[in-house]
Amino acid sequence: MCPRGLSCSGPVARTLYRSLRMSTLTLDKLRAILPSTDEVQPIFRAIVATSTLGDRDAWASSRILGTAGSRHPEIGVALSELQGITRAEVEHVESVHGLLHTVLEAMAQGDEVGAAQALLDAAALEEARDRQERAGAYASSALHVLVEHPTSRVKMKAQRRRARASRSLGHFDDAFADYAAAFAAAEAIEDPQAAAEAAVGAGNVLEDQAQWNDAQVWYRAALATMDRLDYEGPERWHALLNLHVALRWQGKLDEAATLLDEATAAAERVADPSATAFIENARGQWHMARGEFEAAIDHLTVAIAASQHPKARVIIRVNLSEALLAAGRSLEATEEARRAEQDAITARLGRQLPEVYRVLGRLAAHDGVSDAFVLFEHAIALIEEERAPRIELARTLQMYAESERLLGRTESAGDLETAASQLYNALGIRKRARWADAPAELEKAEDHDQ
Amino acid sequence: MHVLGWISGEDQAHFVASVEAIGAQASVVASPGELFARIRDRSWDATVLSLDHELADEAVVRRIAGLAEAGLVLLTARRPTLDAALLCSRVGAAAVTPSPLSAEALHQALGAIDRSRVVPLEALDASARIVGSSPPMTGVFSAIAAAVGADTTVLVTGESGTGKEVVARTIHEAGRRSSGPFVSVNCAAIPEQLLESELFGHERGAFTGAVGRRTGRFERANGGTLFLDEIGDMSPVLQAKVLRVLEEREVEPVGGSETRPIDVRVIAATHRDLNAAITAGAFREDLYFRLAVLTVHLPPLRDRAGDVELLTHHFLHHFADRHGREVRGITRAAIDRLVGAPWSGNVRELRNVIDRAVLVCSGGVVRSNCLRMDEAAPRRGAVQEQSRPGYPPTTSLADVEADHIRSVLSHVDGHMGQAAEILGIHRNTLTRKVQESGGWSR
Repeated sequence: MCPRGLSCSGPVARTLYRSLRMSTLTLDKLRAILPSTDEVQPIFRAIVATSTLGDRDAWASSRILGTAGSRHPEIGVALSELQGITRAEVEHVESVHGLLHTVLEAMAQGDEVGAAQALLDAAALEEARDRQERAGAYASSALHVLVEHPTSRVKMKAQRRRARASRSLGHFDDAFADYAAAFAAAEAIEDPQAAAEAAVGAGNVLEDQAQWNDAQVWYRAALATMDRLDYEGPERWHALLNLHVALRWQGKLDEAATLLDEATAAAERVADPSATAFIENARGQWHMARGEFEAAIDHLTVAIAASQHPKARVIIRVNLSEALLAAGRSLEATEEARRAEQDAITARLGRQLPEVYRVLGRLAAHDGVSDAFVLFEHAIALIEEERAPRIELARTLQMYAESERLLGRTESAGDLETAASQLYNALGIRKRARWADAPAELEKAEDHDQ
Repeated sequence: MHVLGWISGEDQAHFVASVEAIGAQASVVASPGELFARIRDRSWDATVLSLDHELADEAVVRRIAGLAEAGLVLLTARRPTLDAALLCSRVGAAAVTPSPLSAEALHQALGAIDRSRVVPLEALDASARIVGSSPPMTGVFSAIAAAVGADTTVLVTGESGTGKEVVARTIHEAGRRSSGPFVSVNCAAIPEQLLESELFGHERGAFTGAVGRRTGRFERANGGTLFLDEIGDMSPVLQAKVLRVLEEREVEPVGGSETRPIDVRVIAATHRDLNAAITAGAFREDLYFRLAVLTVHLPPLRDRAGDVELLTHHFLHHFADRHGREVRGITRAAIDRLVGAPWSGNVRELRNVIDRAVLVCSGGVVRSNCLRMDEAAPRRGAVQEQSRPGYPPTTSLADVEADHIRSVLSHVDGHMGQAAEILGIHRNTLTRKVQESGGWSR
């Protein structure tokens, strides 16, 4: 029997109602009940976003180990959102079907470019719902349609779209190949904007694999193309900022500082206010690299104030938490990481949560909390649930190992290091030890690649 | 506290009486020469100068006020004028008050000294784990001593942040198992599905993800102490398994068929009311009796406010050392604020406040403005009564009523209808009362 005011007609609602009767229901318990399918994920994200810390004592010692999994679902609130989620799903399917209708009409009329554009629009809709495999599939279809159009701008967009999906799924070789092809095509038709976006994308994929030198080649190629074709746009500061990051990771801090100034000037020339958060974040990390933690904290604090997107804010907060930890201010570091957690939960950024729990795990281990493993285990569970790239799992395992070692559990640390090492090798990533400690970078270039 | 006075003859006796009335010691001088000599002789907490002296011109007053040893300088005058007030301001004196000096005026002026004065850091035993000298802590120390002497299970209770794990570690380190391991596990933090294998261990392949054998916490604590924190949050299924281990002194890893003997002392802790949990069927009574062979109850910090200053000094030492900062002292105003705080998070909250203050404060002194704390929460129990508005016992009911009406009208921005609703009286009655009092409506 359904409680008054609730509709229990759907199978999901029935499952939720059964859960409602469970005592001390946590998100971990609920996660074990609900399958991790595309249909369930938006519902589960709504449940996470509306969850609460429950009646747990604010000063209980277990609070430091709290995760999204130990939060309590407000089922009534989540159910009230169910109708809206269903409506959004229906609208999404209708939109995709409408675009497929356009594809078929265009194909019937021999308009291959029009068909490909509609397929790309469908890919964008899937990407907006973080369904990268589907987005990649639609982009592949668009490329298939345009096989006879080697210099089409739509084809270049499709290559970049598929590259982005591949990168997001951790398929780095495929991503790099598409970005490289998009760059070559854009160069051929002398489109500086498309060429710069593709080159920066290719550089980012190489950076994902710690190939800093190779990444620099691509960022410099983007800048050379823009110089040659006398192009001024936001892509210039994107390329300069990415080049700065690559140099910073190689320890070339003076050269990196010059590039940061150039990126600032380039952003000012195109009056791009969104640059502030990214540049201040980079300045903060540059100071971190120099061991100037208080200066880093100043810049990262400004970056948070300037950030316009929840995802950027979560990433910068994590970086700020790292800076505070490095400055020996672990109490504030934990507070900042918890703010990042709350931001990620509220904005339904499940993919960002593992990095939040990684830093919280490190903080707990730093404070000698023997049960810090709970936070890493939760990060791993989230990576699996969100189907995040395996590289995320490798990073988590490595940091988990470091924390176990810090807590004196050498056997466990050794096992985790071996697992991380095997994963890095499988992914073909070198220099992993240093790379795993890398603070999250903000990547702006792709925001404009629509 | 020592107060030096250069006071006109007829007011000297009154000055001495006022100083002594506030519990300070008074010294009186007759001339400016003697005044300078006494000031150079030693440091004073305050110096009171009468402007009624013929020789008390601005140059003299300025010179005296400029001497650090004079302490706080207070001016008195039979008829305080605008000129006297301006002089007071120019020379940096604390105040100018009418003479003869009253004890109340002196107390008010000296309050400023007291509050800005730096209380130097007390030399404490850095190795002390449990800090406190208040009466409630005497009972705690006795209970800990009893627990150290016996090798049995102990239940530590108390609100969150009172230091239950610190007590458990102290019992372990002072007891006969001190050479063995101290293993702690937080029963509320670990998801139920992980907690069982964490406590009892698991065999290879016991469940998905169990790639190797894992030694449980009971086994890891063999020969030592296992601290089960927040045991009141443990599920009934696991409670039964823990009870079995306590009774039979052996564990059976998840997925295993063989039991292993263990020699572990269990100390459990909870912030929950286990008796209420037993009544509600959420906690096993048999496990409770097995755990609570000896109990240590930690009082909340609000019940031992006398320990706040001592704990503050202890944490100042600890965090100054940890963060490599020099901390010479803390102001009286900061201590007063700490002592008056509600401390819903108990010692853990105080510790966090001091940790942050040591990092934030500059100049080696922790001042009130460095303390970031949640003072919004009311203090529980008896202390809460202090927040009630106080009226002197000589206040008439009419004055109290008028004051309250004024306060409500201010709260609703002078809106008579809303004020009448809050006060529970008719609007006409309120209007009449306002008119009778001379009117304070908008």
